[in-house]
Amino acid sequence: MIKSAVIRVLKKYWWLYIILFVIIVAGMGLQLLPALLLRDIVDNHFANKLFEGVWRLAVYYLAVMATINIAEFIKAIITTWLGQQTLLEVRNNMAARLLKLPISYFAKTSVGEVMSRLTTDVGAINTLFSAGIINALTDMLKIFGLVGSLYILAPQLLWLVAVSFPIILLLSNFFRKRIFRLEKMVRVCISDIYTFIQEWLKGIQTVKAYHMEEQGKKDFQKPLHAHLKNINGISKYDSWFPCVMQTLKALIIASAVFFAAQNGTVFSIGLSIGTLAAVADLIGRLFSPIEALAKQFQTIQQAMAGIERIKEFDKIPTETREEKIQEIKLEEGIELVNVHFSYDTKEVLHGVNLSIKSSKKEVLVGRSGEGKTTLMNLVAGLTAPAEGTVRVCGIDPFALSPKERRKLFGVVPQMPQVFNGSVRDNITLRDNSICREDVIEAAKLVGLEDTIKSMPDGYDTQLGEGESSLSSGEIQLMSLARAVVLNPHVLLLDEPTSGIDAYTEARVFEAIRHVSKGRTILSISHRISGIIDANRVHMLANGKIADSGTADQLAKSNGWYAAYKHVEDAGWKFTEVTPETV
Amino acid sequence: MEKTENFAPPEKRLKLRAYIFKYPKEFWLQAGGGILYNTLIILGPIFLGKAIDAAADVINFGASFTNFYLYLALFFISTAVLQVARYFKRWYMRDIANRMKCDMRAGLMETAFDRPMSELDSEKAGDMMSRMIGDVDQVGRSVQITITEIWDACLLMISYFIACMVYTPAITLLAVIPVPLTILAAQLVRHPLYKLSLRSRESASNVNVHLQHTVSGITLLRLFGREESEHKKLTQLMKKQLKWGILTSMLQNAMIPIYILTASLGLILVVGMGGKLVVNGQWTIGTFTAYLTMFSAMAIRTNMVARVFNMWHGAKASWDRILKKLDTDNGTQSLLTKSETQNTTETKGLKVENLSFSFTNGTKVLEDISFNVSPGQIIGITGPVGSGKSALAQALSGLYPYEGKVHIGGLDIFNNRAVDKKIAYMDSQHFVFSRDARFNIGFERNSEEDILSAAEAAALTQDLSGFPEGLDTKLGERGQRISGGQRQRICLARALTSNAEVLILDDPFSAIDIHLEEQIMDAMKKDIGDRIILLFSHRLMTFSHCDQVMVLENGRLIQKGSHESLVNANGIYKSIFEAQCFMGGEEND
Repeated sequence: MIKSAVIRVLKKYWWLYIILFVIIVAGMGLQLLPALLLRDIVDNHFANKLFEGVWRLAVYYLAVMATINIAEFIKAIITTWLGQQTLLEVRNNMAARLLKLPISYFAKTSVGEVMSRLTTDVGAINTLFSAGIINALTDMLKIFGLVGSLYILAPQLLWLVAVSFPIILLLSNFFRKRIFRLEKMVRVCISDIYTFIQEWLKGIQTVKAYHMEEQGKKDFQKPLHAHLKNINGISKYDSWFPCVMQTLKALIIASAVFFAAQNGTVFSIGLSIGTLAAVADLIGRLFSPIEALAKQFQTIQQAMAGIERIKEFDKIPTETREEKIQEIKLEEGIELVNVHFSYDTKEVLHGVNLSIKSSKKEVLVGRSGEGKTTLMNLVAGLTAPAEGTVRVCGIDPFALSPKERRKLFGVVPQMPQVFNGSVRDNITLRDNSICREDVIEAAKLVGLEDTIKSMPDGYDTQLGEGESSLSSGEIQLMSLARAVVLNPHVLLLDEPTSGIDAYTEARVFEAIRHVSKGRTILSISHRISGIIDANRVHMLANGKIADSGTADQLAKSNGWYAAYKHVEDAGWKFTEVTPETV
Repeated sequence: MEKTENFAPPEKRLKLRAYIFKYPKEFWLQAGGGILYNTLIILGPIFLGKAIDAAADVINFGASFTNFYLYLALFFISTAVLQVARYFKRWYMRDIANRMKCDMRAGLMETAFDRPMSELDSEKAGDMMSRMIGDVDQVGRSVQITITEIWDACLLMISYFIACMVYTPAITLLAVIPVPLTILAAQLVRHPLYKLSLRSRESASNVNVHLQHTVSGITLLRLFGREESEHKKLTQLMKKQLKWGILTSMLQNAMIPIYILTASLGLILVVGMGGKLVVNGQWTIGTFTAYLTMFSAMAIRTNMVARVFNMWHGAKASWDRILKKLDTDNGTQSLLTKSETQNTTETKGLKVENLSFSFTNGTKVLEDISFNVSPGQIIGITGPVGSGKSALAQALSGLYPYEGKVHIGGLDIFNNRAVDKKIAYMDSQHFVFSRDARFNIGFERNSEEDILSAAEAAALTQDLSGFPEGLDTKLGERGQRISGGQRQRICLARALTSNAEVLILDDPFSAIDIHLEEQIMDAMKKDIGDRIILLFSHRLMTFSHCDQVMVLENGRLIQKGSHESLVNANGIYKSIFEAQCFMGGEEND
């Protein structure tokens, strides 16, 4: 995911990388010029008491400084640009993957967690791509250069470097490992904070109605404390690490000077006092890239933790959905043969057989929690059965492309949803290929036309989160308009009238009746009104179709009869019916 | 470190300073470390120099090693001690910044909880997330870097400046002119930088909001084959975020060479004028190099200071975004404390007089509604879609502002602390927390006994015994692990456990079979005591249990009376009832 993003950016902007490389190399050369100029001024002019040309050299000095800074500027721009492009690619890859994840993933994972992976986790790797890697490379190069110089100056002292490097490495490694672990925890904490916000803001009306504000404030302390514990852990390492490094540096310089002085006097191997000063200076300078590297450790570790989380996301199995071009046969209906389906390890459907003829309106009934909605999702091709086959109009709905699916199915889910956008957007779901007339037609069909017209901006009225300008019944009607706007052949209605009063219900049924001509309709209901003009009724009980038939037939059949009697007596009752009694 | 202390914003929650000074001990410890470290840092090089000099004495004059060892030891010890000071500076600064971030987050959440419902309607979780994490982090980081730079840069600059002044005031004063110019240049880009940062942060919010909606509505989007278009829109928003992000950092980076250049202008003066002094013999070359080193160090620090300024202009945008959500001065608090003094001698029960109600967007949905309910009564309220049923439930919840009078036991209900515990409002969303059933019903307030008896009344007992862990079963986000009907009954049990005098139940039976509904109605009636139950429903059969029924149409109360009287009177109630009976009884023929 990250690799492919980096490669894509590399391919697209290879020339930028070349420019960047040239600038870095040239910049390193240019860095030496100011020092050379100054030496020239001091050695050739001041030492000879010659003032002439000093101003000229000073101007050169300024010019060189300007060039260096312009190069630095361009470098910064290019790295930011490339870094941001890479981030965009990573996010895009993740978003694309998100859409391929099975519905069951979303059922198990909180919205906050999904969001934190796509936003803050990716943000964490920002520094890595913008400056981190390049700076780290430059620092490494510097270390090699300085070790080289030390070798030329005082090869006798190289052993000191050889001894100190493993210590530095061990220390850094200790530091790196711990920070990495904590950084990963921090990412989890942020995800928990996200989840908390998502949940409590979603339920804010309930929170307010039950005066849960104080409870919420109290509960929010938990993720905050966990977060502080982890970021402070990082801060602690981050605080002492450079200090230890500096102390170590002082120790090594002191040892170097100590040994150099001993060598120079006791063994007389010819280390001049100038070399002694130079050695101290070199070792001091050797530490500055090392320390810079260490400083970047935190950001790099942060990035690594982000990368790890992204990799985790990458490992979540996606659905293998082979989109096939299939011939839709409108004369064929809906056919389920021996369909099994489980959530996690619990099987909810144990071999469902269901057959609905084309252009019929049939109803699925059963008590709540029986798997009616699951069955609906299987018919719509949202999920694939673990076993058995599902055919709609002669095709496998799971292999439909999104576009084809929308053409074939119109769905009214149990919980209607309002999206940020205009009324029109909410009906078309931002599909601009649907013309205005069709939207109005759909609104008329469901009896929402007058309501929309009376809104401040008609079809362009903005709806949004926590929508309160439409009643829940009206939102349900809008949801129905959304389903019929593309004139689909198959309508799937999941308790389409559950939040609607009898008056509107009649209107909705009238609308459904109106559009049902020539269409195959499967609706879910647990209420008597839902089965009124159904051709057939199927009863789902204990993960199987317990009984099917017309309402009249079922009245005469054995298992149905008991339940039906109850309906007569008490209004409606399915609870007692189990396959054993059928 | 007081671990158990809760995070909370300081008293002056709108002053950034207050967040820092909330931790005075930590602040002074880091300040002490910073001052000590930066003023004594020169000791190391001085001792090292002395040690090398001593070594030279050993080599050249055969002096003893004593001085050499002494200075070498001093070099190491002073460095080690100063590093401890540095550790204090670093650790306590980070500790303050981290705590400050938590305090801000707690403050944001508290403010959100304390705001009135009417404002919270438009609160977007995605936007809140980006403020809570992104903006707070940015402010925290900026505070940390700024304070660190006060020690590292400013203190050092001042000491270098003094040292330079000792050498030559004339050149120093002249050469130092570009320094304030640099700061001025940093101030010049203040406004564009602020605006760009704000845009950049806003675009990040937009991405979050869109993403949150896509993820929450994924099933629907997938059913309608709209994932691609949502992805496209997301890409568009992300591209915008990228654009503003790049522009912001470009402006920030573009200024750096300018800062370095202006700061370097002084360097030329130093080379030129100092050079003249050397050539004239007033300065030695050694003095010149020492002066030059100090001066360039000062110039480099100037650049750092300018960058800190720039960072602040960016962080200010984030801080303002946080402030917007921290500011509670728009009404909440003042409303909460009023009305304790109101007269409480009025009759018990619920009294509604000339109630009018509008949605937050201004649409008027209820007009001139009046009725009274005595303790122990169940009132049914019905009406067609859009007639204002849910609006009336909202208005009576006391969470939203209304016009007219709504009194419980003589007290005004809107945002009134004295009354709000007397109302339990079950809205039509049937929201449940992802936590266990026990929490969702009793909110850690009620005893197990209360919870179980409410569950019994809400016909949940059988369901609970079917749950893998009974009352301790986690319901999952949005109650995904239970069915819609179970969710509805959990919300109902929640209302029943509360000690409220008035229960407002908006559509409590829509996903519940009729026989369960009967069972629940019977249980509620039996236990009603002095309670008032307002039952909003569209199923009129339910109302045969009610003491009084009210019918709404177009936001007005059009019929009122007992179920029997309304069924027998000509009107909308009768026609709805007959339609429902017809539907329910069609198969009976």
